Amino acid sequence: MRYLGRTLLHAILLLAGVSILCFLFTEMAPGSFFDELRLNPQVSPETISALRSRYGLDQPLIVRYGRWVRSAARADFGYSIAYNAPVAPLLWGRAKNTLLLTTTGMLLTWLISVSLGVWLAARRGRMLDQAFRIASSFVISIPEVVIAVALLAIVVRWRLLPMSAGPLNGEGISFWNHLRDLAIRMLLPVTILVFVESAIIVRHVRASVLEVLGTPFVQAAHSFGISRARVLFRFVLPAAASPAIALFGFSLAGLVSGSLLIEVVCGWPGLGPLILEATLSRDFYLVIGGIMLSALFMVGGNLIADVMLLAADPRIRTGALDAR
Amino acid sequence: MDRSTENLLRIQGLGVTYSQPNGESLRALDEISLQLRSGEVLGILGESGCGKSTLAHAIIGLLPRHAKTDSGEILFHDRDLLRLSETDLRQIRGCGISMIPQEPELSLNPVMPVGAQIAEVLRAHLPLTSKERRQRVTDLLWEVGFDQPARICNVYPHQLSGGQRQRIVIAQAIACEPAVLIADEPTSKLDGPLRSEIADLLSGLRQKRATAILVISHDLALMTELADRVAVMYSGRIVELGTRREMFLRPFHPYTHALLQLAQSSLITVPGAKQRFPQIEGEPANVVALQAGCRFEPRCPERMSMCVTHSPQEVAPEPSRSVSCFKYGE
Amino acid sequence: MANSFPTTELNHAYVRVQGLSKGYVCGGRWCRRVPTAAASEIDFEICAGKTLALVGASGSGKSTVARCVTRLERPDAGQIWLDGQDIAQLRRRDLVSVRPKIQMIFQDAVTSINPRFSAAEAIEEPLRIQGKSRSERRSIAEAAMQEVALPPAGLDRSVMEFSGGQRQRLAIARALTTRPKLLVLDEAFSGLDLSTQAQIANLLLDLQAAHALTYLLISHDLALVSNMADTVAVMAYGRIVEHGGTQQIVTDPKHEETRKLLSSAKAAQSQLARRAGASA
Repeated sequence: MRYLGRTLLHAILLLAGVSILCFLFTEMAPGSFFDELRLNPQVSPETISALRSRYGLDQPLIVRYGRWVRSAARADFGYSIAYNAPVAPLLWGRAKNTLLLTTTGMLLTWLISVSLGVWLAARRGRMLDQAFRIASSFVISIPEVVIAVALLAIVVRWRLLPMSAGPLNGEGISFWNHLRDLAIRMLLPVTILVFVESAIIVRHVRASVLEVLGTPFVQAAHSFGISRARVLFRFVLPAAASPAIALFGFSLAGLVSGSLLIEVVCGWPGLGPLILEATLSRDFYLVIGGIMLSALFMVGGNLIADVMLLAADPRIRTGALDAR
Repeated sequence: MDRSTENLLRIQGLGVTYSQPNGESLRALDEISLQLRSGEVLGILGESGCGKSTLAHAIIGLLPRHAKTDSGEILFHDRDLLRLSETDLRQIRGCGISMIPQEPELSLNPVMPVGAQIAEVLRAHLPLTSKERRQRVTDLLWEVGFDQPARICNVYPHQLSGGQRQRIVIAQAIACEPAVLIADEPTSKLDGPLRSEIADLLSGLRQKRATAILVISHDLALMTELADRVAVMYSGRIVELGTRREMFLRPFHPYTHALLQLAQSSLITVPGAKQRFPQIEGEPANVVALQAGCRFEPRCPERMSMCVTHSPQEVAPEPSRSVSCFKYGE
Repeated sequence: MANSFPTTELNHAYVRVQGLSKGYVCGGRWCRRVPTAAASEIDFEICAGKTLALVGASGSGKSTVARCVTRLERPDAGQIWLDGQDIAQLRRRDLVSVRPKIQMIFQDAVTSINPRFSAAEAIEEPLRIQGKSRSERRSIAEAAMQEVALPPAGLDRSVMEFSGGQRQRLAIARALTTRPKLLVLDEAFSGLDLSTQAQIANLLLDLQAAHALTYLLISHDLALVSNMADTVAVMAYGRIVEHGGTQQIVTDPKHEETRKLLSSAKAAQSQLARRAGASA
């Protein structure tokens, strides 16, 4: 219990720290939202300073931070200058799309990775295993963006999928058509996500399972006549779970931030393009809001992973692994 | 049929070869023949590398992939275990023939409570309800010497001491009341008082349930406590076989004689100046580079010229005793 | 030397330990860690060329004492006089000149030697630290192999190809390269077959006679120890409860712990005698 309390405290401190750093960095980045306006001779300096004070940009940083924290406590995360709308609903609208993509991707990735990892561990050293090792090294070393663009190019060149852009809300079409449309649009980005993430996760799962397969207690389980399937599910996987759970935490943590580039490349209307745009135009509160959301997921994901680890490995619970 | 005289387990001419990654083969077991009767304890005495663990694994059919049984048969209740399918073998493992694994520290699943691990063995073989299983686990824990079985059920392996873990593993092995128990080095990782406890536990099992036990160990003292008959192994062969009493009173084979001398001298003698231990010269035979002759010959204090070129066959100089040595004829 | 300890002429005590204490802070929750004394107020001495056996049940603190004497750990209190110098609180820098004099042989030769090394690499490791040249290292390694009755031709074989007993010999060879005066053997015999134990024990006895080595032998096996040791110290719960010559301890034990250890060893002996009788 104390362990959890400590972790929670760390999480809160972390979020606070991130918010401070956010403010500092966006402030330190050269330029502001109104720079373009300033270049426009038709806009008077008074208008600009009026706009600035309207958005509170003329106040010192500390004051701005204090105000932000106070309103954040009321779930008001400020205003986006570009969209002239409150930040929170704007973020959330896009975040939903992103989450749709990433949760689907995550589920598929994990299903595939765990099965593939276990299967490969059992076939260690044989042809398929070797082939996989080479292929995954390849995939891991290539930047995600390059893979995304490459696959996009293939899809477009051979017209494999109909490309459409625009909002996902599917007004005016039937439910099934909407679903079908959604699925088609998700296909490419999800494939890229799964492709890239699986390469890493399969390797870790494989290594971890391999290690457990060689242990005496698995041999002992076999020697008592327990069926192979049961040995796998009740003995091998639980013991091999810990490293995978840590990775799962990372997956969770990256639910909001992990697909940014892919969304931009594939034209998926999620958080990615929004935050990119906001950063480029110095849309102050939108940027901060986006980063905080991402940080929240990150912290939450790790917290969940910690809880899961606690549940999965009794040695952590009883402090047996805390050597001197 | 009188159960006590029927041969529960009969091994005839068993041979096992390991193929090394460098292409060479190791003959780990050669012409092994043994019988085990119900309620009897047969000790396999031998040192590291003699093949005793290979024998244990060969019996339950869990040899590593690069090992092959190339001759002989293992008859359990008149069924040849070497010809059975994996499914049939799995039914026998844990239920007909059960092995107590070597290293109790590592033979338990670290993330599962020990009670559940015992229950897994029950689940694999017996059609019990979960309530019955729980009851049986409690009974088993009681039987292997835990005073508070209910508490121990939910404990994890790392919360137990080495001796306690050994007991859990024994509980797993006897869970389904096997007819044959194979104890692979049951006491080598334990010290003094624990050893006697485990030995008592095992002999208690033999008395209560008429389980036949195959004890594999390098510990001669353990053999004297437990075994009815003893087979001495050296370099993949059985060099002597006989009743415990006869064997240690009048050992035939030079190797047995040397082992006995060692065991007796390493005990507390009246200390004077520091004494050297009577040692057997040389290293255990490198099983790969086999000459034609007796495997013990390079280290034998009584070797003769024919021991180099010929391999001794098994002879029986007395009833119920056998030895493979040229001292006793060809 | 300010730290020098006046040595008696007659029995030159090569190692003298006084008031050695070492505790650990283990387990417990964040602000309530409990300090435990693993060893307290340990006093003993070993004369040059002699063997002291430190015996006791597991958990009695023997290994802690061994680790302090070899300065793998720094004791909390007390003095360790080695050849007239107190090494108990020396800093790492100052220990560099002391380390060659003390070597340790561990329990499991499988884990105390890097299995990826060749025999030569394993034995030459301390020499490499000392900065000896390649040919020097090789010749010292070959001499060391011969001392432990291993064929020098095996120097280039991988450590994994050696058996347990042979690996323990490699560990001894490695220890001998620095020309130590004190050898600490921490359960160096457990896990070995009886005949291998005999060989290693005989080897150690021969080496002791040849090089006037001093041994600190740590074991739970009183039987083995009674043949090898001049003096015995019995430990229980972190303290030495009885201390004296081997003969005296074995024939006339005073403390309960000593009697307990003796009786379990004797039980095995009497059983073997009873059931086996004298061999032909």
